[in-house]
Order: sequence, then structure tokens, then C-alpha cells
Amino acid sequence: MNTNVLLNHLDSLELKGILPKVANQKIQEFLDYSTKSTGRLFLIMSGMLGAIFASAGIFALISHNWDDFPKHFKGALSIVPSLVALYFYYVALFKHSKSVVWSEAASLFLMLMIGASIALVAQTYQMNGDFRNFIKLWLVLTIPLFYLSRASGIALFYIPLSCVFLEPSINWSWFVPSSFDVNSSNYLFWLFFIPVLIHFYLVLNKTSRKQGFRAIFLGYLISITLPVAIFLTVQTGYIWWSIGIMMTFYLFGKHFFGENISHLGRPFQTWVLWALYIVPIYFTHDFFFDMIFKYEGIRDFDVWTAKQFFHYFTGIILMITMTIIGLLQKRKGAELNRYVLFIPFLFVFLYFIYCLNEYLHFNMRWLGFFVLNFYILGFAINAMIHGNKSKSILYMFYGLFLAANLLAVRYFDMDISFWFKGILFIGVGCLFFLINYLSTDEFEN
Amino acid sequence: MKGKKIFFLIFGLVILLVPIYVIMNSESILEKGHRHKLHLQGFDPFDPFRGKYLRLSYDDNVDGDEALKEGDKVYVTFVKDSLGFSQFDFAHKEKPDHDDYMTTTIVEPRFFWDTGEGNFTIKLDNLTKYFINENKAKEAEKIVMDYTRERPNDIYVAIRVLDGEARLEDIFVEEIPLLEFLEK
Repeated sequence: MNTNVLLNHLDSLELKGILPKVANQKIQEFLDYSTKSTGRLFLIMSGMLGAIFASAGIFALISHNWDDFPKHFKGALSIVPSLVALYFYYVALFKHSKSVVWSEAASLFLMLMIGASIALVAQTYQMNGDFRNFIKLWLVLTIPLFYLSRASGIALFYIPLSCVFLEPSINWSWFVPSSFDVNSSNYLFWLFFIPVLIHFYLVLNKTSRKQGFRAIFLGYLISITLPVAIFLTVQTGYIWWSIGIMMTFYLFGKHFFGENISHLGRPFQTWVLWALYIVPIYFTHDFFFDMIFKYEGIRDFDVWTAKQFFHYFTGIILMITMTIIGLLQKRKGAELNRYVLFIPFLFVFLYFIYCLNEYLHFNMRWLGFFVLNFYILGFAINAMIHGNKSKSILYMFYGLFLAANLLAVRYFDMDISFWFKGILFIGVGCLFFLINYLSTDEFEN
Repeated sequence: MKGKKIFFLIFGLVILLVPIYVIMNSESILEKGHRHKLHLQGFDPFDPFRGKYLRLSYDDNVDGDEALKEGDKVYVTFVKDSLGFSQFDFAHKEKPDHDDYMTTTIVEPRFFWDTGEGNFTIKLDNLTKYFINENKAKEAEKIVMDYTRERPNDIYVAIRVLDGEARLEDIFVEEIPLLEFLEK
């Protein structure tokens, strides 16, 4: 419904005596605030898009290669993009210091124009140079923008550019799973990533569990980049690192984003839910169970380097620390999901079962799969119940699809006689009908 | 506010000084650097971010000190033949005592078991792209292609080298800079 129509409707409800005047005022104030904040986001985005397209145009002008001009003139011309962008940045910083739109657009424009100036010099003096050095220089010059004007939009270009230093060298193979060697310059990525983390921390509203657009935007960028970066940096302990990061994200998200209304407004928790939707189900299959745990095989300990040991045990320490913090918080009464806190214990148990089979030839995988299947089913049912209680339809859908996904996979890979499978799945179908029946009163009217 | 202004001033100066430094450094190399003529081995036309350019390739295999491995920093010296063309000669681990060398890194060490000798492929930053006006790129491609194939001694790339840094001066066709040759 259009906001104006809604406001008129509220006024008419007040006139008819259905809505008290105070309540109407409060609702109107809330709607006004939410319209204004969405409008502000629109202004910021249009400002940033303006900066991006203007910069793209300047890059295209540079690309023409104006060789009619003498080299010295072209050299002098190369500082013009930075100079113009610095002027706009100055205006943003000192004349419109309160305007987020100015600050974001001018910072992004300056960042891109720094790159344009370097590119123009390179073109004039036929220096193709080393692409990584070019990026290094560009990123170093961009860092102050995070602090001088507290701009966050530049992270959209800054973070992907810094990922250049993570690029692994992949050893493709047709017959066995391909492997990769980590990039030896990956420390540069972390050096460039730290300023973003500090900026993110400064942006966070520490007194509340509710965050604005800026923190949500940075939250998504960080929550996507960080797991990928860790995966491309560490050489061992992938499972422990994954669980450690997941627990960190969950606890961090609950602490700072816990009261954001929409799921989209809770980047860290949303990623954890996705990970829990996709990952555990793989471990219920023999092939993936063995393949993934094989990478953590303690049989290779004797050939590991000190670095590999360090990565392995740091991952374990991260996982243990985060689990302890989570348990302590839960004990203090924090609203944390038992099923998420149980994940580290579950995977240690699964790893123990893998080791029994791999090293002592004592096959207990059936027990691991049994526990894991019940865990996923329990988690799914819990999501549906919790979603129902908190009136979150999206969370209910999550639980419903998680259960459906698990059962669909089991239908195809469960090695039991067909008559038993038939009865079992008729029972499961009836269970869904029961859920449907029990929820009818609540949702149909 | 005053602190912010000073910080802005320093930041702005650094941003402007970086391209100015590169320009002055390049001018110095082009003016004072040792001139070398390199045979062109081939080229590819490209159309990327910084405008059109010709990607140039040379014989980048050199002999070098033993025990060099991938990523090692080396100092490459040149040798001239009787026609005045230069070649990358040797990759040294130690800096030479003159200023006619190029600093680079080893891309790929090679070792031949049959001869017991090895050589190295070196990285050639700043020499492999010739940026050119978009309207002249097509014609330049044709000229470079024809000359490289049919008259390789009449086309060369002139570079300037000084204290480890190298800059591409120009492509010369029959001793005339490529852009001037195009206007003929």
C-alpha cells in the first residue's frame, strides 16, 4: 500500500474512533521515519551510481589514448582526475560534512579517480607494470577514505580488489579432485582487510542490538569475504575453521544484529542459516563424509609443516573458544539456538567416528549418520516451531524446506527395503499434513 | 576541524605526488637511460581497460646464477650483437657495479638434465604493452605483423634502462617511430 494512502486510512480510522490519537501519531511517526530512511538510502545509492558511471566515462576517455598531445602535456593531464576528485572530496568533507550522500559519492569518485590517474600515467609512459603493484598502490591510497569521511561504499570496490592477493594457483585434474596452492602474498589481503574491519567496528552501534543500512551493507561484504579468505589462506583444519567462523558469525550477529527486524537485516545469522541448510546434509552421505574428513586426516601429521600445524590448531582453538563463549552466554540467559551451539560437539563426534573407521577399521558410521539425520530433522522442526512462535513465516519456510530437503535426499539414498521405505514416507507425508492442519487456524483467517 | 584539514592536505598531496613521482622517474629514465634495441618476437592486439594496446613479446629466456628459483629478485644485464641489437644476457643475484641493468623476478626456472645446464624465464614488466590510439591500432597491428614476419631486422623496440628500471621508448619501423611511420 502507498504510504500516503495508508496515512489517510489511519486518519479515517482515528476519526471513526477505532484508532486512538496517540497510537495514530506514533504509527505516523514510525512510517515517516522508515520512509525517510529508505529515501536516504535511495539518495546514497543514486549518488554512488553517479560516481561509478562518471568514473567509467573518464576511464573510457583515457582509453582513447590522445596521442596528438605531447607526452609532457599528457603526463600533466594525468593528475587532473585526482585533482578534480579531490576538489569534490574537499567540498564533501568541509562544506557538506553532515551529508552521507556527499561523503559516500565523493569518496567513491576519489577512489576511482586515483586509479584513473595511475592508469593515465601508465598509458603515457607505456608502463604496463605489475598489476598487483598497481592494486597495492591504489588500495594504500584508498585506506584514509574509510576514516577521513567514514565512507563505507568504497568497500564495494576495495574488498574485491584486495582479493587479488588471495588468488590461488589451481592444479586442475580430470581424474582426482583438483587441488590448489595458496597465494604466498595472501598476507597482503589481510593487511588490507584489517582497515575495513576497524571501520566496520567504528560504524557499529555498540549500545543497541539494532544496526542501520551501513552496518548491514558492510556486514554482508565481510561475511561473504571472510570465510572465502580464510579458506584460501589456511592449509589445514578446514572443518574446524568453518565451525569456528560459523560460531563467531552467529554470536557476533546475535550480539549486534539480534534486534534487526528482517532476515535481510541480519547478515551474519542469515549466512549461518544458509551454511546449516547446505553443509550438514553432505555429511549424511558416505562419499562426502569420507572425502571431507580425509582432508583433516591425522595420518598426515608427520609430513605437515609448522605452518600447517599452526593453522590446524588455531582452527580448533577458535572453535573451542567460540563454543565456550556461546555456552557461557546461553547460561547467562542469552537467546541462543541450542542446535547451533550443538554443532561443534556434533562434528567432533562425527570426526571421532571417521577416525574409528579410518584408523581402527571399526565402522560406526551408521551411528554418525543416525545422529546427524536426527539433528537436521530436529533443527528443522525447531525452526518451524520457533518461526511460528515469533511469527516469522520466512523462518518457518526455512524449517519446512530443510526437513523436506533431508527427507528427499534420504528417499533416494536410503538402503532399506521398499515396503519399509514406503510406510516410512507415508508417515512423513502424514506428519506434514498434520503440521498443515495444526497451522490452519492460525494462518487461514 | 583544523586537524582534519591538515590530514586532508597531506592526503591530497600524497595522492598527487604519486603520479608526479612516476612521471618524473619515467622522464629521467627516458632521458638518461642506456638505449637498447630489442628484436620483436611477436605481438597480440588487445582491447582492455586502459585502451587499445599491442602486447609485445621478446626472447625472455636468460642464463643465470645457479640456485635461482621462482619469484627470486634478479638483476638482468644486456649483451649487444654486431648489428646493434641487444639481448637479455644474464640474471645475476648480486647487483652489478654499473647502472645498465634491469631489476626483475624469475618467472620459471628451467633445468635441462641432458646438458646439465639451466636457464630462466624472466618477468618483463613495463616492456610488454604498447598503448596506442584506438583509431590507429588496426593499422599499427598490420604494420607490426608484416614487418615482424617479413623484415624482422627493420623493426625493433627501443627501451631505456637505468639503475634497474626500464621504460619502453618506442617501436621503430625502418628507424622511424611507429606513430610517425603510420602518418607517412
